[in-house]
Amino acid sequence: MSHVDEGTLHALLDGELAPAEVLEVQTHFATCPACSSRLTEARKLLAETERLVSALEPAAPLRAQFAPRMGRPAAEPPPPPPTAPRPSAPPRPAFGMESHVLIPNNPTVTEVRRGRLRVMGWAAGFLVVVGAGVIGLQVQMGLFDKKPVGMLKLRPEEFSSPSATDARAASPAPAAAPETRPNATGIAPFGTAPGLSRDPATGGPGNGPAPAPPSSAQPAAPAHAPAPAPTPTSVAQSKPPEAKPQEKKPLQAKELETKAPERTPDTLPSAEDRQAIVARAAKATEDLDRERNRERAAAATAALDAERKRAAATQQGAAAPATPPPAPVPTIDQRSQIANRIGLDEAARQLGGPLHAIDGMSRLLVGVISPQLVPGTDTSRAVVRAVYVDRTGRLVFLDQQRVRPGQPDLPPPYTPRAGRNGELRWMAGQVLVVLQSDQPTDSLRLLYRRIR
Amino acid sequence: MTGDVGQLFETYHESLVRMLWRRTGDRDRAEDIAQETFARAVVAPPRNPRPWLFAVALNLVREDARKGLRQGRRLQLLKNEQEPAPAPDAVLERNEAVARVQAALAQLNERDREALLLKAEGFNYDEIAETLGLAKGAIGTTLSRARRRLVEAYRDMEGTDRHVAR
Repeated sequence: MSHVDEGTLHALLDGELAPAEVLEVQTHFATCPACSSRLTEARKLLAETERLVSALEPAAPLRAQFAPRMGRPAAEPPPPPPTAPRPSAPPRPAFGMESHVLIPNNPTVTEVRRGRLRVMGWAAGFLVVVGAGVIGLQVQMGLFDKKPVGMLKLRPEEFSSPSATDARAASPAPAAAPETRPNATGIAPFGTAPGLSRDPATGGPGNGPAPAPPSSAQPAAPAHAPAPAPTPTSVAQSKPPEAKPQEKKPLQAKELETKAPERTPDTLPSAEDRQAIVARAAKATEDLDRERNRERAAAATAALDAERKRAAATQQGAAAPATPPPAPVPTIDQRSQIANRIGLDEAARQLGGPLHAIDGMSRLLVGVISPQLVPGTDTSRAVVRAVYVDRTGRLVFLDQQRVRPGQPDLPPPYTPRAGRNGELRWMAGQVLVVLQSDQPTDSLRLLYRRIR
Repeated sequence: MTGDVGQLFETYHESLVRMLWRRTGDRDRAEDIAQETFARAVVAPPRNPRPWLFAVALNLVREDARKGLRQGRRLQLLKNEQEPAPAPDAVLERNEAVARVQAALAQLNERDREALLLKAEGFNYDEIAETLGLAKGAIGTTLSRARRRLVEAYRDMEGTDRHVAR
């Protein structure tokens, strides 16, 4: 974001920015000290302006001077406070008598802003409630009006298919399974229709108890093999017998199908149509549920197969000599055995003075390491390690530790003593310095000259 | 209708007179212009009263200032003959700080000055925009410029006064 302009700063201070803009501007302030200081300046400017403008209020001597003009003695106590109710409007208010009303009785700018924010808060709450209601209404309308029509459209071939007709001849019920539709009117209430029930665990439709009839009931748990698809006969057998005669059914359904696109909430179908719609919807959702169950079962089977394969592979791997996985490339911290990275200030605090450095080499990092890694150091104090890398990519460690008084086995001051292979150590004031690298000691002596 | 205007008067008269007083520096003029504004509201009741009232009042101030300029030329001829009695603004100018603020405010251009005074009356940006016939997006910039100029002008005068006093 570019810098915040002056107008936006003042709009922010006046409480005129939208919440999103406020957030954006405040995010910018967090990263831009220039704009933050301009905000402070604008705040001062605003306060100063308010002070100046309010200085234009009538001064007390002015009122006192007007008092005799109105026939009131100047020494008379001041008029009632400005909070007193104003008398009914005179055509021309008595000059001076009413002057107290003009003393800043109005809310200050801050108060006005607060009041506005309060009103905005109420308005926002109201909008949220209204919005939620509208959305809820839309959802309800959408499910109630469109879903059955959509379901009818999904199965147009059923009305002409001979198997469906046969099924209806066996059981000409237009409604769904009786155990899922206790409503005697045949109209399933919203949310209770089969297949529209929601699983409390997932919230997804149709994950609840399967509304399939007993003849085609499927296990909800994942199966190893897909369940057999239900035949239209088995679906039809589950219909209650008190429905419409079967010869009228295809006609009704076709009529409904042709009417469906131009249907509006005002032209709701009759009770019979609705029964038919609900029945079709129930059937369609049953099918949908069954299909979902089948898919879920297939997915579970696939997952199980994969698990089995993995288990088999593991068993085989245990029998066969295991090929070690490629070792991850160690980081610089790991290679340097740094326990914790620290900054230069912390290093200086640990050492009681500035960290020694190798002139001409760039330091990769500074951290603390365990004193056990550097023999001869005080094990009760941390060792500060500065890590360098030379031109050949070899790491060079410059370990430093502040020694305690009387610490044994210390090297001479400023005289490098070769320790283990690839190590030089010396005392620099109260700090033990150990230069380590995978290099010959002579090379390290050259490096020693560059220590500062 | 009368009741409506009475309600308007109750609600806005005080704020309107205060703004006009700040604008003109003259209590009598402020009262007169406020009266005239409400008289116009009786003739043509406004739909959105606050911006309407303040916009009409500010227009009247401008008209009044133009008339004042014309009359001022004539009065100039009579000045030597008759010394006017101490006017309320003469009394006001005894207060140096107030006089300086008035002068600093006078240095602002009309739009900036009016936006500032409306803001001081608790107007939000929408209302200021409606009253002055500006875009809402321009109000922040207008106010920031007005505030900066007012404070700078005031400080300049303060500095000049100190310099003169030495």
